[in-house]
Amino acid sequence: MANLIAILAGVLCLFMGVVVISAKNPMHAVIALVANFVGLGVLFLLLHAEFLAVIEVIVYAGAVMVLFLFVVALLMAGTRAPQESRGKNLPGQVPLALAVTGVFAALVVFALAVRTVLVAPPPSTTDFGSITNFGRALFTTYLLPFELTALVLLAAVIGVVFLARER
Amino acid sequence: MNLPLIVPPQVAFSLISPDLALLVTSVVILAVALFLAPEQGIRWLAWLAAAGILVAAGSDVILLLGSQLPATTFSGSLVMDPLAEVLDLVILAAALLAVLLAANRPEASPDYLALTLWSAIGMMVLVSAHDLIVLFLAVEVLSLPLYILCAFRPDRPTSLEAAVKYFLLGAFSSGFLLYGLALLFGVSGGTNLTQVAAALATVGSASLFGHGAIGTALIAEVGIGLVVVGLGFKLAAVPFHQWVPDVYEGAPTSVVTFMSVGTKVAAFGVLARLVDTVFVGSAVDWQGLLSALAVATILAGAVLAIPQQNFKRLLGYSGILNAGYLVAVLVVGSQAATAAGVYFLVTYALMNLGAFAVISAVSGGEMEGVMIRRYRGLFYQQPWTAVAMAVFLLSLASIPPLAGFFGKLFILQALISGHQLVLALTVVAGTAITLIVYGRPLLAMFSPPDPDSPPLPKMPMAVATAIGCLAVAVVAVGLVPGAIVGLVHGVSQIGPLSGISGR
Amino acid sequence: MALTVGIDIGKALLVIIFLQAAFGYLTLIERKLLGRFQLRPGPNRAGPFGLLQPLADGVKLLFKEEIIPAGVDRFVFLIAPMLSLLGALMAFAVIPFGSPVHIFGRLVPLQIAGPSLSLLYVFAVASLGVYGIVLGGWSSQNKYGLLGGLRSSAQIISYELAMGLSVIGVLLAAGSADLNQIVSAQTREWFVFPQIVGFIVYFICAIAETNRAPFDLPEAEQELVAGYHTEYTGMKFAMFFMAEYINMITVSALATTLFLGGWHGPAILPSYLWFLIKVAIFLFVFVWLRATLPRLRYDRLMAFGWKVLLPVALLNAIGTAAWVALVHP
Repeated sequence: MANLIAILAGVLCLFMGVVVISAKNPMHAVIALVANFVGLGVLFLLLHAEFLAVIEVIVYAGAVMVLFLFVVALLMAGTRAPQESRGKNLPGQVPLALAVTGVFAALVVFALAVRTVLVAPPPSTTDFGSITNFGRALFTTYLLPFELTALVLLAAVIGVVFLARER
Repeated sequence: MNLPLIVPPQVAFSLISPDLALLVTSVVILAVALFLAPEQGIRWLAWLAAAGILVAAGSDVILLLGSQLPATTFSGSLVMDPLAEVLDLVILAAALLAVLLAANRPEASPDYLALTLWSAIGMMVLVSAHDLIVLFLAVEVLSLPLYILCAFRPDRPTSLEAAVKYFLLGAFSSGFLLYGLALLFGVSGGTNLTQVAAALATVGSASLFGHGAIGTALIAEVGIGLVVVGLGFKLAAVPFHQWVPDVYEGAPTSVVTFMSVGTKVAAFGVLARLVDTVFVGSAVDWQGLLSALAVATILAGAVLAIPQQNFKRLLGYSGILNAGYLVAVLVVGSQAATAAGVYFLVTYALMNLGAFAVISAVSGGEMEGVMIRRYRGLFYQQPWTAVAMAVFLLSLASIPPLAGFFGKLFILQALISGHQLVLALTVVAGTAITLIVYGRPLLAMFSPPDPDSPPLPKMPMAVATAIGCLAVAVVAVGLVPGAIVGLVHGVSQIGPLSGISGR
Repeated sequence: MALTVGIDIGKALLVIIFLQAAFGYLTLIERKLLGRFQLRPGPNRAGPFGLLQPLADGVKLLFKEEIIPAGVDRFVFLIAPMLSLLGALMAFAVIPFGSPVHIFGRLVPLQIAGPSLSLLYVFAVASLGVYGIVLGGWSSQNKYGLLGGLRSSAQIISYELAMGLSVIGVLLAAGSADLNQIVSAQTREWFVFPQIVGFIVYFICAIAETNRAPFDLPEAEQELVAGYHTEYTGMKFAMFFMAEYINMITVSALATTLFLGGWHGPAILPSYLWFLIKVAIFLFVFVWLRATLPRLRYDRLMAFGWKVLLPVALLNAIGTAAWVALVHP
């Protein structure tokens, strides 16, 4: 059952990922990305990372992507045929992308075939993704990344205020 | 109801005092700026930023001279060793110069100062990073302010173009880096470099057709490759260099000054640490990868620099070329080679910062001022500026009595003792080509001036002092190369050394 | 196993049917109450006291012509109302609406599902409901629709922040994000008293989240016709309408669960009735506010959310954290 759900969610993620980059209408691309995030959330849930799954949906699917929709909706407002707003591909872009994708797909298939490939042990307990353990990891082992993230966000805020300032 | 108590780890604040000094300064600047009229007090704030940088440098020196190093903090995710501290000093020097150059330019503002300081913090954390997540976030802390800083002349379309190009390619490279780090984490099951190194050391030891060994080795190889690609963007190695000329041309000169040295130092530092702690012990073929990167970077950088008419673009390609030397020396993988790389980096920083400072002063913030033809007859208008620039350019071209020559010499020495003859020959070839590259502006400066060229802007005292100090340093380091050799030898211990566990 | 699944499906069906019926009669009650507030009888033609009015409305909407305007993005236009309703219905899945009861000799919790992070689940699902509104507004190819959709989504994501922060206090005080444990933590004392600040912020945000007066800017008739659902007709319009009313019920149920002790109450009435009564009080206040308060100006609304509610909610969260860490064992 869990495997079936994992496969379905994985297929959803992959399919929606392809739609994101191939959709002609940017709005459809954004919707596909939201679906992709929801699928990812399901995968996190199956891995017992409940808190991460919920936060991922709230923050990315629920807030960040709405802002994407905003930008797309405002930029496209008044354009009759959104299909024409699409840029051209670079020469050789599609074959190159397919080749790189092929290499990575082959790698994944190979890794699955060899089976024992991943050294990383699975989490020992099923509650490792609970709020408590998540918080504990965040404020002990990963305290420095936590602080650095604050700096990244601060820089982003100051930067946006600077760039958007009226002159 | 009983909420579990989380005890945060012990943090050795003395070890991160340089970073804290910059952080406090930046916050104070932003807070003070709230109470200042928009156009007032910028100079005052710039001096404050400079003071903060000097305090950080001072605590860096105290750490270097003290007996605390090497040590780790933040649960082993940050390592402070002589390598990191020396590179931190170079980063701080670049930040100081950026602040001084910007002080009376249109781009100067409290935001500019704070973003520069934050970027410097990112660089300093990056050279100390001992954890994959810290590594990635440090790259972001370093890059994000730089993207914005590139756009600090919104009156110029080229500045915005530079910012957008840098941002898009930078975000793209972050993707590569993150994917690579994720694969390394997948192989090793831990984010600390100690764990990654331990996992990669066992990867190759299984027999070629052993169960699972190939798959893991392959994934590790791809992971390392992607990490090198991601850092290659920051280092400006060919073929990930396309952003360099446009960004160098469009961004404010003070930003380029900081970026050209700072990002290179940071990217070299983290690559050196990865090579030393992770790559060397693994059976993955990382040397071939880096060698190819080095050869392509040196040759492309040198050849593409020849036809440039814009001084900033020329120095951009020169930066690519020098990134190639740095990658080449990493291939050797010994600590002596890393020390040679650090020595080279210190000398490169001195002459590159000097050259950009002169460009900034001569151009006075105008687009036209950075063309090489503008330098015709500089010697007859501002003789001392021309002499200083000549020193920097000759040093970049590795002319013997100057600092650049010894940097190159140590690199060649390291390459030859590491039996990397092809790379050594490439370095020599690259150096030969650069004689043409740097010769052109040199000749222009000492040829008679154009009668109808506009007068040069007056140089601020602080900038003149900085240029003078840098020129003297280039000459002095060249005359007494031993002066910093001792310092650099201490650097060759990269750690977390045996005796310090992951804590 | 089969019995468990059967009971689960039964509970889900029960809740969905109940919510549909509640939606229908909520519209009637609202119109009746508004009528009384405005000194008029309200709908009283269909059936005794107008009790068949919701049915009549439903039949009317069902038989209306479905119009899909020319030039709309059909796919997005069609999924938008569904997304809206889906978000509204799914959020109710984790709300405990009564003490466990015995069915076929088993103790069955009156809650469709009880994940350990049920509080966060509600927020996650609710945050997805915004897509219905913004996509519906965008895909209509109508300027009123687009502006209404954008206004609405801006309002919802702004107030979501303060709303999320306002319940942090409850989460800290209960020491769990599981709604069942939050309810059982209120056996002795309802959280509305220690968390009065959080409660007020939550309730204001809840009104804004459901686009109700005085925060019903997205549907401001005078400026935006009907906002994001201007171009919708028939059942598709009804779905948006239903989503709004069910969201109202959900936020009221959540407020009951978080602040008013959930289904706890003196044993003279069954627990689910207590729950219903508390929810009904909230719903009455919703209608009361609509009848009483004029609409805010849009910039005032955003400024209020970001500059007043958010800092207050943040201070409340910090204060509660300090209280839990220092005073409380």
